[in-house]
Amino acid sequence: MVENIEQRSPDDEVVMDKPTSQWSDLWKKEDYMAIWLGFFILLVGVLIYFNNAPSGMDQTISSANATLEEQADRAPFKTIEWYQAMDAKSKLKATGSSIGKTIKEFTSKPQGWSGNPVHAFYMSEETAGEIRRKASVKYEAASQRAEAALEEAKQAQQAAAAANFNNESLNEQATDEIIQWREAKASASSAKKKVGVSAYNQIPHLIGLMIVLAVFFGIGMKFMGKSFGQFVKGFLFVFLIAILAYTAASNATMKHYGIGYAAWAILFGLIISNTVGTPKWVMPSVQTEYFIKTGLVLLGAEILFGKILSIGVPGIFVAWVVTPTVLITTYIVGQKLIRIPSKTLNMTISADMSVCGVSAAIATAAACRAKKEELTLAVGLSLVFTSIMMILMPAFIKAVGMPEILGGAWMGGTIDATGAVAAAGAFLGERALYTAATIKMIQNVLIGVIAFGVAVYWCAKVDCAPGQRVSAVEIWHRFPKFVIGFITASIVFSFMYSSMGADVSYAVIDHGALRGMSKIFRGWFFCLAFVSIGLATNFRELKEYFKGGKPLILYICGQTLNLCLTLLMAYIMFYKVFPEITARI
Amino acid sequence: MAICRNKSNDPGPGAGVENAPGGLRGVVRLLVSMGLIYMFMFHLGPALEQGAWIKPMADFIEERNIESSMYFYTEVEEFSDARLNWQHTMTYAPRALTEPALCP
Repeated sequence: MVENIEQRSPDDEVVMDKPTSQWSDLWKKEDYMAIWLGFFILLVGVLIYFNNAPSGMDQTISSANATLEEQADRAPFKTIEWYQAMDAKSKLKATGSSIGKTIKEFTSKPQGWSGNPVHAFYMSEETAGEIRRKASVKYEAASQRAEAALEEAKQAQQAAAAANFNNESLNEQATDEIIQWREAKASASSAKKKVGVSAYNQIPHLIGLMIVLAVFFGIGMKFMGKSFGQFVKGFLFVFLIAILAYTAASNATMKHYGIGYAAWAILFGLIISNTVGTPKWVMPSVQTEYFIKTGLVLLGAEILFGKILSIGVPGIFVAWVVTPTVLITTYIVGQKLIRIPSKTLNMTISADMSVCGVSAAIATAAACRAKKEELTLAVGLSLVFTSIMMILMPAFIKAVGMPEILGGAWMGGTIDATGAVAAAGAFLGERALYTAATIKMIQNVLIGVIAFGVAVYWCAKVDCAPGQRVSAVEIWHRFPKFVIGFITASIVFSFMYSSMGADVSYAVIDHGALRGMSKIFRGWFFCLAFVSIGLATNFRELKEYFKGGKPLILYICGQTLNLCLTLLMAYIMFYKVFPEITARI
Repeated sequence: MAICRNKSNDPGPGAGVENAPGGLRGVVRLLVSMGLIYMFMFHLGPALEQGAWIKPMADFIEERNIESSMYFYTEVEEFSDARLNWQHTMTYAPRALTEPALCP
């Protein structure tokens, strides 16, 4: 194998590498270590949840499917029984098993809190009892409203049935009453969760989780030739800041603004590093890329291509036509018109604005090796505009009388953060929520393709000497290997998802290995990564990227294009090309 | 074939934090920062939330317990319901409309 030979160019800022790969890279390089660690968690998740499927699952599924078939033949709208059959299937979750609950308890983040931050970690039985009492009053009221709505829906459905479902006006009335019942039921379900509050003490679990993750990542560091002891010592500090970030994010008011753990993690890290300074003994555990890459391998498993096929064609067209168009256009505009000096910053902002916010920014930044400051800036821009759009878009849609489905598709394709899409969509109505969520999920799946494409493009075109062609072997040497783990996880889980069928996959993959394992650890790993970014970033360096306001101009221009194109494509797809699908939603 | 990379793309650990003031000035800045966060989280944020534009959404998020600050679909329960509903709408669409199911 050719050894890596460094040659200094006359300009000392550029280092000329000769490409190389060695077998020892498999355990010495961070990218590969991230893959092994990520795969380990996924394997454990599969072994646990595939062996703890809900009891009676197959029977419940076949019974519910039989009801759904029968009801689909019975009426020209989704009947109460149709929804009740779907609700029966939605309760099938492997995460509901005893081991699933244990994992959830042990890996749990700080709990939601309002006035007293102590409630993020500890709640006495007395306080829990008080909350239950207050919540019971609201739940009783919500439950009665849901029951009343169900009665109204039954009467309307019976009236429609009496006319053999041939009376359009009665059918429409039944549909409206059923939708109102669904919304009242959703409110009652949310109220019921608060009635279930019990006393807790998170502190022993957080300490245990800290030790487990310290050892987990420390072993990887040891294989890569770094000090296990130094890493673990510093990790305690990084994990503590991550806990603080989650605590801030779980504050009720911060949730209302959509300010999540990523923003707090970066902020707390920045404050420490730019005031008292990050302690030297912490630095061995400030491993941004290590945490991010491991998290991204887990994220890969959550990108299920099979989902797209089961959730419909119009959404695919909206997401897969508009998103790449906006991404590429914004990148070109950023380079040619706005003239953003850093290509990696340009690409990261373009991805987070056009795809799906923070998660897309993370994947793209890692794929094109963007700087930490660039990722910070992209995430910051995304979060600010997400909060604004989450509040303004539903208000605008209601004010102009836009149809719910069109409004939902518009918001799903333009609001960056997934949680904000859920809030904005649900605020408009159930159909808006389902449409918005569908578009956003398809965009989430796009992350895999975008990250891979960006990685290849960067290796082949951007990261090379001007005017020189790069061979396939060199592309391989330069390719960020963790993307292979990311894509492999996606392909394997997509294959499993398709083989097992949507119903069983929902129970053991979606609400098993993914939500019960991958998602939990991925959240922690990304939080650790953002804390590391903050701890290693200097305000002055960050300010440099704001110069001239070019990133902000790029974001605004790109988002404006995104808003216009998404609305146009959503209208065409949902109302001109596939109106029959829209009629069923 | 040589490949260029920009050296400044690979800062080592600790890069960029050499200019932290440290000492008493650093502690003061840290306390001021914590004070600002406290003001935003416990006073300014809740006050702004009462505004006509924000309150309806804030109340709605609180009532429905939506994880509006999450970043990926697996972190938001509503997406699970939405996916289930959409999948069933496509697979078990009311056939009285005489349209074939659109998904396998």
